Parts: sequence; C-alpha cells; structure tokens
Amino acid sequence: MVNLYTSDDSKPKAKAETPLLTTPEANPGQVKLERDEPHILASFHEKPEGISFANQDSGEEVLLFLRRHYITNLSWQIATIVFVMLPLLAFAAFPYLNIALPIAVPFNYILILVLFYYLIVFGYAFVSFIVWFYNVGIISNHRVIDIDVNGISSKDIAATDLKDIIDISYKQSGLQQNLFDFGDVEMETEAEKPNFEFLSVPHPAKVVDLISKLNVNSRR
Amino acid sequence: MILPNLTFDLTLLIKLFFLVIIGLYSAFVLIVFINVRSLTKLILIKSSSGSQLITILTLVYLLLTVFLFILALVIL
Repeated sequence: MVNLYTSDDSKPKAKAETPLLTTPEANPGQVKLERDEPHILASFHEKPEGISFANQDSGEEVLLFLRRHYITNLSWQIATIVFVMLPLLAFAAFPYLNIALPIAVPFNYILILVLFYYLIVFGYAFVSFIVWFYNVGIISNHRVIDIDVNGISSKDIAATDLKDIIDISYKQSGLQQNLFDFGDVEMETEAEKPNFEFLSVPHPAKVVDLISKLNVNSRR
Repeated sequence: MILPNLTFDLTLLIKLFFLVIIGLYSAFVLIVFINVRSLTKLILIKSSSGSQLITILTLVYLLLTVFLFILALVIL
C-alpha cells in the first residue's frame, strides 16, 4: 500500500544551513577573508565592496573578484608608447633624411592623417584596457562566474555552482608568473560545459584554497 | 550628346578616401561604445567610480572620432 501520509518524524530532516564563512575559531577549516577596499586597477579583491553583477541573487555575496595580473598589460602598454613615439621620431628625423616626396602633401592632409593615427592608437590602448578590465572571475558564496571578453564584440559568460566543482588546480610556469605570483586556475565541473579557467590571476594558491574550502562547505 | 568632362582628380580621391576611412572607423567606435555599455550593465564596479569612468572614457572616444570626422569634412 502506498503511503499517502507520513508522520513528520519519518520525513527526512531539512539540512541545517551551514554558513560558508564563519570564524576560524568556530571551524579551523573555514575560510577567513578580510574586507578589501577596492582599487580600480587591482586584480585581486577579497570581499570587495561596491562590486555587483547581473542576476546576482539576494543574499549572494561576492567573496573574491579576480582579473588578470596587471603585469600582463605590459605588452600593449609598451606597444602603445612605441606607436605614440613613432610619428614624433619621424617628424624629428625627416629634415635630416633628405627625402623628397613625389607630390607636395598639403598641411591639412598631414594634420588629419596624424590625428587619425593617434585616434587609432588611443582606440587600440582603450580596447586593450577594456578587455583586461572586464575579463573577470567572480567567486560568490553560491557560485563561480567566469566572464571572458575576447575582443570588443565577443563575450563568453559561464557560471557554475560551487558544489558542482569536482576538481580544482593551478598552474604557474615561467619566470614572470613565479616572480609576480600569478598563474592559471583551472576548475573541472560535472557539467558538459568545458572547464572553467581563470587565466593569469594573482595568488593562484590562495584562490584554489578558497574555492576548495567553499566547495567542501557547499557539499555539506 | 555631350558627355561630362571626367578628369582624374587626385585631391578629390584622397578626400573621399579619408572620409570613408574615418566614417568606417566611427562605426567601429560606435560598436565599441555599445558593447562597453552592455559590459557596464553586466558587472557594476562602483569602486572609484570604475564603471562610470569607463563609460565617460568611451563617450570621449566616440566624440573625438565624430569631431575628427567633422574636422576632415571642413578642412579637406
């Protein structure tokens, strides 16, 4: 006979809400984060104030906000400086080179050309900065969100629950990554979605430690 | 029938070339502006007015491009 009614005692007890973050005294395995005063160019914020994202649930708190290490911007910054210097060097060197142009170019054209050139250089630097600025990883008390901006018109947003993470590791290779303490954090999930990756993030060991602890807590 | 006198005008050609290139670039900057706005809505960074600063910078970039296009129209 099918039991339509069961007594309250026979029902499985609802799992007690386990806080993901408690004091270390209460549980030595818990995560301790200090509230961080965010800086616009920082790439590692613990419990940042004033950072929120679309579809954030009520009661969901951002615990860690990550970007690529600032040193990874060095290549485009050097390239921008070189591009800025090029016309100046060309104008400075032109009188000494004795090059005769086949046609006389009016000043107006040179002015527009130079302004346009600098606008393109500014655009290159600006888009590179935007790509770095919005390429973020967010770890909240419920999930992990990976926002990848590949170029200016393409973005890839992926999110997974903390409890769905089955494996997490990090990789640091090369002098630069070891010197400045940044690396790639990789997470494997049970879902069909390929693995989550936070590339070139600062303090990868700390990130892995935090996510592992949150993962364990979320499974309880 | 009298045909119009078509002569090769290099100056006009260069003017058109400049205007088309800057016009196309303005379209690119407009795409950048729209995408940055959508990104700003996706992640709101209030720290040091982060999102606001980026929006203002994008607007300045767009205005500079439009200004250059108008300048090219006027002085070329």
